[in-house]
Amino acid sequence: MSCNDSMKLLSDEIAAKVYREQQGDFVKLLRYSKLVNVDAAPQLPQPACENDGRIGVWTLDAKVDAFVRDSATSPDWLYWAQIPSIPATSKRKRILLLGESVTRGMLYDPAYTPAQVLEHILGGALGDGAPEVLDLARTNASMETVRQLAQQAEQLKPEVAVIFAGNNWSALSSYFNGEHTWALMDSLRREGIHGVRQKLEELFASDIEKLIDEVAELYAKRDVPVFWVIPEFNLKGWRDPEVYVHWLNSPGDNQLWLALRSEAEKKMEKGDFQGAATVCEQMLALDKGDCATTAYFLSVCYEALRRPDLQRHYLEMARDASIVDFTRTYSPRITTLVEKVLRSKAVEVGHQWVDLKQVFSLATGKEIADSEVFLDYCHMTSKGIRLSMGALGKQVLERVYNKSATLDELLENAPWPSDADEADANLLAAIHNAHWGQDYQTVRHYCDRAAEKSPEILELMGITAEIQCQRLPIWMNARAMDLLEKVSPQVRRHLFSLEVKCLDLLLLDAFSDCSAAYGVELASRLSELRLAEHSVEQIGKVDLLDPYYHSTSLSTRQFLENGVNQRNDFFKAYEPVSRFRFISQTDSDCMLSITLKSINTAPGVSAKLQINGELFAQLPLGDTWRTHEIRVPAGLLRSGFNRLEVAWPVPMLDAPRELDRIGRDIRDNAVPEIYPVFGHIYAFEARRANHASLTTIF
Amino acid sequence: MSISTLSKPSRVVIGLSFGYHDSAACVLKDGMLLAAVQEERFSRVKNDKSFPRKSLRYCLSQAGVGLDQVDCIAYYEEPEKKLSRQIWMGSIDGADPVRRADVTKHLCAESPQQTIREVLGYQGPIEIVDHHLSHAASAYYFSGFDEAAVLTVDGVGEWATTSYSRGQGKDLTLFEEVSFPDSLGLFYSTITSFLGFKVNSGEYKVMGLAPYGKEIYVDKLRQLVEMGDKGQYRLNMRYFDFLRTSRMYSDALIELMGIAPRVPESDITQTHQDIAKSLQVVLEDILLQKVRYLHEQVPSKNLCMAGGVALNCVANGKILREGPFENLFVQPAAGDAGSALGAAAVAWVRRFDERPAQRDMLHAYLGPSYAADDIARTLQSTGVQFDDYRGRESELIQFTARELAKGKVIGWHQGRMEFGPRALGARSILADPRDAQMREKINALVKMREAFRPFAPAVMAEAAGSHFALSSPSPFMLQTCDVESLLDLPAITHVDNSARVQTVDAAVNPRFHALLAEFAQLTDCPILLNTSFNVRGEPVVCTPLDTIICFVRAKIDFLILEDFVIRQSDVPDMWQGRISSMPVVPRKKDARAIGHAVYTFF
Repeated sequence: MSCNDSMKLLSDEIAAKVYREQQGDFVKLLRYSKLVNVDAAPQLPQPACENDGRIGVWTLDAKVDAFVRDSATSPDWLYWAQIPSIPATSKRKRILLLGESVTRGMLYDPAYTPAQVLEHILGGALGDGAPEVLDLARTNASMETVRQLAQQAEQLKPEVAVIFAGNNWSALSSYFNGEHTWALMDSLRREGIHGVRQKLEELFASDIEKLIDEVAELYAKRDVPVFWVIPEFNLKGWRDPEVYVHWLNSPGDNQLWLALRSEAEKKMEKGDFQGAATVCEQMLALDKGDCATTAYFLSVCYEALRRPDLQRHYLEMARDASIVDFTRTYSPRITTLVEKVLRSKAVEVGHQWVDLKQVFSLATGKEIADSEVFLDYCHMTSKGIRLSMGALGKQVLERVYNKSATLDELLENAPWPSDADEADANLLAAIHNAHWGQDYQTVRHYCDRAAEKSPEILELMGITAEIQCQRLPIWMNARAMDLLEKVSPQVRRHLFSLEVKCLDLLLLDAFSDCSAAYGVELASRLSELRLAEHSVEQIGKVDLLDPYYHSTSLSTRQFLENGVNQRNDFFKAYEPVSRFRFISQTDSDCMLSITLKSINTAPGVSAKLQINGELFAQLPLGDTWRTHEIRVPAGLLRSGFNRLEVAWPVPMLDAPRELDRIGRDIRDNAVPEIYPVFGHIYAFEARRANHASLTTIF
Repeated sequence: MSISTLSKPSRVVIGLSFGYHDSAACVLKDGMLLAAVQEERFSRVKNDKSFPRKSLRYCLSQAGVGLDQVDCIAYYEEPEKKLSRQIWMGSIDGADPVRRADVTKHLCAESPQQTIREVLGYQGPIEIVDHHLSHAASAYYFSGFDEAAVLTVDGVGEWATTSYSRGQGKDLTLFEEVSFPDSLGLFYSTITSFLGFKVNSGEYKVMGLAPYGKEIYVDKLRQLVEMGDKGQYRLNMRYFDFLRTSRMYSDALIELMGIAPRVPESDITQTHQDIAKSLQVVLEDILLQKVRYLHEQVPSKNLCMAGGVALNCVANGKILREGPFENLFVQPAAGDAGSALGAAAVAWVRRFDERPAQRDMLHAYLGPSYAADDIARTLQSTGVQFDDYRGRESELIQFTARELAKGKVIGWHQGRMEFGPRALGARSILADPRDAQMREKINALVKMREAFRPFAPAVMAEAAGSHFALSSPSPFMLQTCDVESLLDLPAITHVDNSARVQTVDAAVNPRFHALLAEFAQLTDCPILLNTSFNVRGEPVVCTPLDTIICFVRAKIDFLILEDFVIRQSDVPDMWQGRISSMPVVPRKKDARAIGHAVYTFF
């Protein structure tokens, strides 16, 4: 028997041990202790020097001495400034502007951008000696993108560097990558989810400091002054998805928190905000500020109690709590941690900073900035862009050019977008807000602003309604494609590349109402479209778990690539009530079929099925899948939208067991699910009674 | 209010394959195979290996059962044995360093049972079925034979690369196997790689290239495989590098062949064709020898074949003609997707102590279909011009046949999608086989693939004998035979006068048969060129939207989408523009499919 043959026997034995005795966990422990060398694979050669003629999507063309857009990167061009080429050298001084979508002036870009505004402001103040602003901001830029770009942009020899970023940095799930596994598990063991958060923030802070140190070192070589613009978040006007508290540390804590939550809600409904605040403080003691719900409740209380300082404090707490929610998708945002580290580190390395929190507060007279300066969670209105660039320009003039001017003086040279571009930006903002689950008032606000600026926008609203109601790809909508050549680049990019297909109830209702205010009838057309495209009677069967139907908000959509719950192929109820909708024409009975199970409940429990607010059925639950078929008489249905709600029994909230599970997830380098789940649904469909199985076209 | 919890009158077994390549799901309900589909058709990622979520949902929906009504889920591979092989590959002397480093990951990886339970929240029974047994079962239990010999040949499963089984009633027993690294599949794949084609997909091209060559490398290639006793053979590992590196072949093989390996996408020379031919000859010889051995052990009239090498229809044809068996059944989905069927069948036998009621496979139309009324509504909402032939099937057939006779290329989307790699008249591109330019036209413009690739014919079953040297029906295009027609059929006749035929039975696919009949009426030719409805790099189309996109992209003359006709000339400019900028492989999705120059084992 050869040596390799005998190895077969050994391999069999190892496999048997690992497989039958579940020793894979033991191997993992050996890996974490580095007793088993997991990185023995040959390392790939490092890429060539970063400054090898490339800056973002531009590459050096020596023939024309300019960096020109590389056609190989054309899918990426939309994320950057629409500049075909950047001269390698210039007689004018150059201010480098790096950053993220906020720096792009997202939803105005390319018609109106912060870079353009800054250049105008400085031009107005300095005349012929004004510098040019190199717009190298990229939508979706990460910390790594900023680091790389700073290096690459040295090829342009900027005299000043501005970095306007920090919104995209807080994606902390990347820390569950093996390198920090044991430290995170240890933190979990000591202090539960709060411990994990603290550890993540420690690691994160260290990475931010490293970035700033690298940037400082880079620019120190040529004594280039650096300005950090610290973004602000739309605290007043943005609401994250509702969250039921994560697994707390001690047995009984989760139950207590739920009870307190219910009590606090009742007190707020009655107007007893002081009483509610007291209850919320007890919730806070349990969740340690890691649950946005508590913080939001407190912000509401203190708004009512006219304590804007505390209102602000708790809104920031709510914003920051998203750091530890790996289940949902959150909008980009600056956080208290990022602000603090940026400010302190900037001072340490001799950089300047512009804090938009202060700028907006001073300029608007509001303690907490709102839709006056924001289009959504962080992207700015034209007013916000002017104010931010005005403040930046003021600093640059003082520090670099020894020239002083007031903000108002500088803003006289800050351009405004055209009415058409303003209308487009606000329409896109309405859509964006709707897709992130914001409320009707917010969405309607942006619709109204759009229509005020340009009533022609109402046609786009109608097209959007059509596009969203149809299950077809947009390029199959003839009317939409006719309009494609006539719309602005930003509308073409955001609207006509819409990949978020959903029923968009709230958005389209806002469009209808706004259109009606201008005498344009959209509501009845919308209703017809919905019935024609989506009614159970027309299409035979509707899969209610299809993300098209079960959610509008990007934060909470399941069964989507990169959406909530990538691990399981079933719907997870993170709230006590799961809500669905279907459209009916009410001329016949309909059948509902649901396959569901409970989570760790006592035997003999049921889920309650409500149809249009009426309790209709009790669905017996077990811990294995069960399918129920329910016949709904036509008389109970409404023409148009019908609401279905599945109210789950409260599960047995076994925190210690769940925290163990979270620990195993971390150990397995899986991003942990830290929230209780109330129930699972594998399949949920509505169909015509007597309808056979049908597959959807698209 | 009327509520009922679904009682459980039926017995349901699900078969799954996933994790390596070609994920798939199937469902046996009361012993009948009601649905089977590959995940790639939904995800649009070729050879998708991810957990077959959508495939499973489709199967459950088609069977009209909920996940709670599943008696058992069967998985197509034995994870402990596979882990052993993975460990061995990383532990041997001179092991590929990357493979060695990967061993730890495999030791820590989740088992398929854990994956099934986690992904589905399923707590019921899971049956683990050995890979080669799954393959063998996918052929035997659906062959229609009461007893048979079964040969399974592939690259590798857990350890087995070739296996010999005996099927008798409900019992299927694997009695001998050849173990990795000795593998006919890897032998073929190695030369495939040497010839510059991708492993796991290029083998088929090599088979198509072979008829252009001469068998002048046979003696050299025979040195790569040493025949052993009984069913055994060994690879001469001197010529293979797949154990030690990420390359299949060694420098010794390059030296032996006397030419450099072909650079992918470069010109194909006579030498390459000769190597392909020689490879095919050597493979056929070895297979014949082993088939004769198998017959000695299992002296049946019936032979079943499965495993990736069973897709070599040229070899299959030779085995049937020259081998000792009278009857041959090859599982149409002979690759790993089909082993989901076999796993389900084995699980059925284990669970219910009886053979599945479905004893044969008259067709492979096991995938989703789309209702004409829904398609109509959708087309109407797009505003595209189309002709509606609902209720006028004969007119539709006449129209289509006329256009085919005029030399048009037709996209044909009808009924339930095929399961397996071959298009069989449900998702097909059709054309006139008599047209000498047709092969070049379709290869270059439509499929955008290599010019040498032959096309296959579909023929009315009752007319097959008049045009092809077929001794039995060939519903799945899994054997080649000589063309013996008085008609000149350049588009489907390969350079060696062979063709890979599909015989179409009126009872099995009435509409396709009717089309063939109508074409015969017009032209005296009961044959059509039939190739899969896809372009290079993408899976076969599944949904009407996939079909429309491919139709536009490939510039096919007409699309017959159920009862509707769309002309290429009526395609809106905006569709053209948009589709031309769409990548064939969806950009966002993780293209985890295997498609590189080495046969990956994990």
